[in-house]
Amino acid sequence: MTKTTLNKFIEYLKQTYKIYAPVRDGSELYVKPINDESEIAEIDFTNQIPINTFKPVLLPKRDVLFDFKKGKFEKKNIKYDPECAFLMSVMDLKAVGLFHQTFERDPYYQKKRQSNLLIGQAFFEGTGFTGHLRERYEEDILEHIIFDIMLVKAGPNKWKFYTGSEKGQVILEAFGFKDFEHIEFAGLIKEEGIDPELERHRKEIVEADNSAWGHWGDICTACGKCAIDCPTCYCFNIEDEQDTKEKGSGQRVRSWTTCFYNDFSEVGGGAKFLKTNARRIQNWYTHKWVRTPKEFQIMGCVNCGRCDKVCPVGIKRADVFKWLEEHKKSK
Amino acid sequence: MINPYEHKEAQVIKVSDQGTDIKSFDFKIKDGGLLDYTPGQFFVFSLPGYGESVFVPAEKVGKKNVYDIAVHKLGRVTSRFHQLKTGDTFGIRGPYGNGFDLNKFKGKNILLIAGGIGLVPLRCLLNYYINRNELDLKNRSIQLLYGCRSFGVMIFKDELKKWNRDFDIQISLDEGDHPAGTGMNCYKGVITVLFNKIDIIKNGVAILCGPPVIYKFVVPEVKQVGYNDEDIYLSLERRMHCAGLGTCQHCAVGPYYVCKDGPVFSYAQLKDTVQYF
Ligand SMILES: Cc1cc2nc3c(=O)[nH]c(=O)nc-3n(C[C@H](O)[C@H](O)[C@H](O)COP(=O)(O)OP(=O)(O)OC[C@H]3O[C@@H](n4cnc5c(N)ncnc54)[C@H](O)[C@@H]3O)c2cc1C
Ligand code: SF4
Ligand code: SF4
Ligand code: FES
Repeated sequence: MTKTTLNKFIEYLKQTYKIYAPVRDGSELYVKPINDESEIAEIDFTNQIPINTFKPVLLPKRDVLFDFKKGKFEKKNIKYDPECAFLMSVMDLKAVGLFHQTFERDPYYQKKRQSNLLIGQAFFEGTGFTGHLRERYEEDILEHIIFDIMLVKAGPNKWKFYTGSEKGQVILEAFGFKDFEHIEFAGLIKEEGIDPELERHRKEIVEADNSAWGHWGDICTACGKCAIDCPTCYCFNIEDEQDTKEKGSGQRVRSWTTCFYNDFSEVGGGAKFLKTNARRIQNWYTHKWVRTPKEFQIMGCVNCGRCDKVCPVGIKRADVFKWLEEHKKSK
Repeated sequence: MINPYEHKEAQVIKVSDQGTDIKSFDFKIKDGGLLDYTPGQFFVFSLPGYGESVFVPAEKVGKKNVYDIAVHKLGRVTSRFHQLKTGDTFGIRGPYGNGFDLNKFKGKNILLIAGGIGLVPLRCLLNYYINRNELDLKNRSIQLLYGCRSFGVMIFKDELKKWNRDFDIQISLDEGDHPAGTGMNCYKGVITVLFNKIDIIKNGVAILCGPPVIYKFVVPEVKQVGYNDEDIYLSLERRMHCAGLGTCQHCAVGPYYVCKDGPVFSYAQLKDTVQYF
């Protein structure tokens, strides 16, 4: 497909879906809603990782689980408007794989997934990868990620199309485009298993003692930015909101939070289990590198680099791991 | 797909004061159903407009299909609970978590250690045994150490008196305000004082539940008595939101989720995990 046809395709999608895509703002990309032709022209195809994520397309920031009226819950008919995440990177699509595992039995997530359309873009060896944080993937990665349609850069102004779901096939055919290849999903884990480097990080976290984290707790401000912009973070609260006008009516709401926030671990009576920033940052790393692999045999970090970039005090994963290793040696 | 956040409706059939800020609620499931659980598992209780809270229900002794919960009034949901009256309804979903591994307790002495409202899951276990004639006191000993701030906050006093006829109960009260006539042995001080004053049963399993400090100070005492790390069980409390589904992350402790892998852990599982108390 050429750029001209691609733009027509986006116009076509816009008839059904609300589209979110990366747009340049200075030196960075941000995922933004695409409303009209001029905004379509602004979509950035460089495959640079946007600062924010496509997460809201998968897990709304605020989602109503139930309505209640006169103090009684109403039967919920779960429904979402169709949304399209356009130009997700391979890393962000790997994160979708983790969401699929985590929310396997969550009817809200599943309905949201049914209503949304995930379109990725990949650059492979020799096709002019220009994004920062170069992560080289072989083409067989497509068998191990979840997507509906994948654009693979095939030349300066050309993309080869793949589909990863029946929905993707149906949409391309309805648009009148038949020159695509279908990829059968072969499971999240590549045959060779978990990346050995990530496995080494896992060990470092398991083996690090409490005192090792004090150093990072002193630096971290617990602002939660790293978690908000991480494509694999999904901490949430569930709370009831009461209607101010109609007594006994309101909604049970699930909304994003981060494990860095002060009340995250607070229990009735006021005790907190993640009391210090050291315990919080330790818990964040433990989730990604220990709990997730323990539960799903995949890493909880897809190596997108957002957390390194957005941290206001410059905490970077590589430095943390190096420090943990050295701290262990010095003991 | 089943919606795990949906709940059944339950109805309050009796409200009793249990102590300062603690009430118990007898209830039954509205469609007459049973709660199918292993002692130590928890349920999520729901009041529209207020939210969800986690409690451990127990079967009533000698009554079919009737359960109760003890609720300590601490915040939004629990305060609303305290306003409920006979006939009012609430939502319930569960059971969640692992519960006690009853097979491992068979034929073994059981040392129960509770602080404050932490008596709840231990009482759930005792009621379960009593209803099935499985206390098995001919072949084993059961002992309960119960620590409270004052006599006023001790819960289920009538049942404690009854149990005291069958097995040993030892009480510690921080304020030492023990009124005469309860028939139970009582000492002034925090729960660890009991370890110097009385014979603690040995060669069995120890089960602890209470505020975080009791784990910190009581586990070393229990080890001193001779219990192995594998035979010491702790039932943990953590903040919960998804409460049982293992997704929201609120209840995480090191490599575990309290709502899914717990709430009952052996000390062997937890001792290298930093944030457990
Ligand atoms: C496994 C387990 C068993 C429990 N059993 C009992 C029991 O039998 N009786 C009893 O009185 N209490 C029990 N608790 C504690 C009880 O769940 C909390 O005290 C209660 O949820 C506080 O709710 P609140 O809305 O009144 O407090 P708030 O402080 O207003 O709560 C705010 C939010 O935090 C959550 N939250 C606060 N504290 C806790 C907590 N300790 N555990 C889980 N979520 C919390 C609430 O769900 C709510 O979303 C148990 C806790 C756990 C984890
Ligand atoms: S690099 Fe950072 S932001 Fe990206 S997945 Fe890993 S932890 Fe999350
Ligand atoms: S972005 Fe940096 S300072 Fe903020 S919570 Fe994350 S590690 Fe801490
Ligand atoms: S309470 Fe949500 S993960 Fe355990």
